[in-house]
Amino acid sequence: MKTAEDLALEMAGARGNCPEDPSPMEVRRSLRDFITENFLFGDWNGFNEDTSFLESGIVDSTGMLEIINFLEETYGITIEDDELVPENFDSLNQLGAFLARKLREQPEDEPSGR
Amino acid sequence: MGSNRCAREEILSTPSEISPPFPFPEISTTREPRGEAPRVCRTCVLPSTFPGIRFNEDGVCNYCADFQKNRPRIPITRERFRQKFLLLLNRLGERTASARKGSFDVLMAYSGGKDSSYTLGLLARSYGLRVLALTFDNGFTAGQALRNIQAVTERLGVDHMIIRPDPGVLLHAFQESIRTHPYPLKALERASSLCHTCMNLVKSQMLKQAVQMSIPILAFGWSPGQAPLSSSVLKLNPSMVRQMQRALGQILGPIMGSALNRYLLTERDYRLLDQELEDYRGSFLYAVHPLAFHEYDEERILEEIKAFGWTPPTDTDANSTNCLINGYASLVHIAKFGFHPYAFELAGLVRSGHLTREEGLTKIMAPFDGETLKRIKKKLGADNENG
Repeated sequence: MKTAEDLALEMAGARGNCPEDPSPMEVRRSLRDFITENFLFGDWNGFNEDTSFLESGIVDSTGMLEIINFLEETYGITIEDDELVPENFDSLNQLGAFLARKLREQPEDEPSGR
Repeated sequence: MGSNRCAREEILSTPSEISPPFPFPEISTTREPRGEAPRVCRTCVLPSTFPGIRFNEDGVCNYCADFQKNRPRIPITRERFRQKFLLLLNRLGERTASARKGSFDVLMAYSGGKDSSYTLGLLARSYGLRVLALTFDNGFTAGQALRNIQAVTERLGVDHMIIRPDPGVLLHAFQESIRTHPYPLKALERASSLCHTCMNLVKSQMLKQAVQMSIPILAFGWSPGQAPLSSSVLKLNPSMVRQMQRALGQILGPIMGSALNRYLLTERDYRLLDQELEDYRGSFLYAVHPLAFHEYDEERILEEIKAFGWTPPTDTDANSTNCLINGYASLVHIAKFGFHPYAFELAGLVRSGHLTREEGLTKIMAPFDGETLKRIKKKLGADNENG
């Protein structure tokens, strides 16, 4: 069964008209790599894509700021004030779905990062 | 690790002056490790003991390489957040003018250190905001810092309040933080466990006071190395606040028990927060780190705050200008994790050109004052511990 992230990333990939756009697979890998490298120290085992970052204790409040920073810098998106809610940031699936939606909504002449 | 043993012995013995547990290689030759000393990035100050660090063939770390990729966008992003802050002030100006909601525009976390003193001046003078400075005295505030707080708030004409929690509660929280290191590993890259406990209580107390006093902006004097630029003007939505408070309860609850409730938001506070959000038509509550989008020049900062009556303390460590326990917390962190808890922040300042690499390394290698450490250990009951 496809996760919300899979579906959302497919939508992000549907833009596909800019050579710099990341593919759904690249986006997925990039998010997972970022969380694994920065918060799990390379060990994904035992971590679920729906696990709450904050409640599981792998991310603190400043870590949440780093996630926001990573999304803005890497994908060139601008996160609006009212989007700063746990429903968008507190698990890998939520992050994936949120990012995909942002990439889809982003004007096509804006950079979309690596 | 030999260097860790060395640190523990030094912490226990407390000679008159204590050097960091491992000598860094000479500044100009950092590409190869020498003896047990960790390798240090050639362009910042991160050592090979820092979690997740990798070096390329030129001896440059992955953090510096990532920074270079994003560098061209930094001035644009900085300006974007400065504009976002100005826009927020405009919105609040329009709304508070009609509603005359709270008595203050900004609640500033004021430690009396150099960065928060400078930020206070920036907000009160350059922006002309109605600022209430709040000091959370953790029981280890340097005497000179307390004098600085009085001098600077008087000179700037800023209202000030001080919260001095039950020293027994904080002492126990600090002792247990040092003993158990209850934070995520990622968090411990940025600061010591003790610092995290203190800062978390400060942030929580700031939230409570802002909600109860209807102050729409929380300001912090975090340096550009501490505050991510993209989060320098951050809306604190109620659901995010609730989730962060819940996470804090999970970390500090086992250590502090019911005493933690004094510092967390209550259900009444959440109801107030919802009400404020409505009253301010969405422009409540923001956390702002002004130094992330302003010029940050340490010499200029010192020059400016000296004009406010600020005097540097002589008994704090090289990385704090207000807190006496910071040096001990740093030494414990180095002994446990093998890197300085200020390395990440200093590396960020070096990368962005706010400090030279030599200045960064000097701060990391600066010795700790033995007399201060002795007093702190006695207060913490750590003076009789065995290695």
